Amino acid sequence: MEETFTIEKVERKTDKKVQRTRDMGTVILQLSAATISAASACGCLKNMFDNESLLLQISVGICGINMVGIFAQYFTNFMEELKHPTKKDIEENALTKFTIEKVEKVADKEVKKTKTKAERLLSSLTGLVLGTMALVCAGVGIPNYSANLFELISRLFGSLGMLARANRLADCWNYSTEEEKQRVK
Amino acid sequence: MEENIVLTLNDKKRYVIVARTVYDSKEYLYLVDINNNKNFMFCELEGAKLTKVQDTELLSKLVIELSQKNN
Repeated sequence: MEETFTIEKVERKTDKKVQRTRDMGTVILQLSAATISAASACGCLKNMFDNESLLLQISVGICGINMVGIFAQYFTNFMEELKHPTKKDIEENALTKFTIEKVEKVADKEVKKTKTKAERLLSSLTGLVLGTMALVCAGVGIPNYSANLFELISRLFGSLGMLARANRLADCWNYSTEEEKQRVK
Repeated sequence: MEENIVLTLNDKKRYVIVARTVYDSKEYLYLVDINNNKNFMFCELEGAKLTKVQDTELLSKLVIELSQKNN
């Protein structure tokens, strides 16, 4: 049955709650798109290789890269927001109740741990992307491959774009570490 | 901070327009409830009337289209 609604009021808003709803909506949208893209790439690969276990590994890889990229983008935005707090944010933030020395010690340890994790994650993701690309390149050599190959390549480049976003997250972490070091000095 | 459009519908809920697109000469909106982010919908816009999209094939096309526009 068709569901219809009517618009009763239109407002223009700039408050944080509305912005967070929009950010959350974007994450949901990107995750849905990544899932659909992975399923579509899956179909392309099925035509090319007709090998289900290989297909499963690659589709999980593509889906994983996309999802990490999306979350990276979300957390990058979140951290960007933290880096530029407003006067009101600082006043409302409970962290201001601690001494600077205490915050620095905790943050320095945590940032170091997180940075190592991010570096490991990025290196494994790079390996995964390069491996997938190599596989696609190998696919070009297979005769009678489907025309869908081009679609698959475009999806993979999309995944690389997501990886670039993950890199941006790492930059953000690096920035935080440098900033913490400066504070200690 | 970016300006966002908030719609109040006849179900008395307030929705943020996260993305919009024109597909097949029709205008579509992706709306997310401000008070419950799990409540989201894709609607076709005709004047002040919104019709929820339920066709799964159209939905998947819209998701891709809207996510590319939103990037």
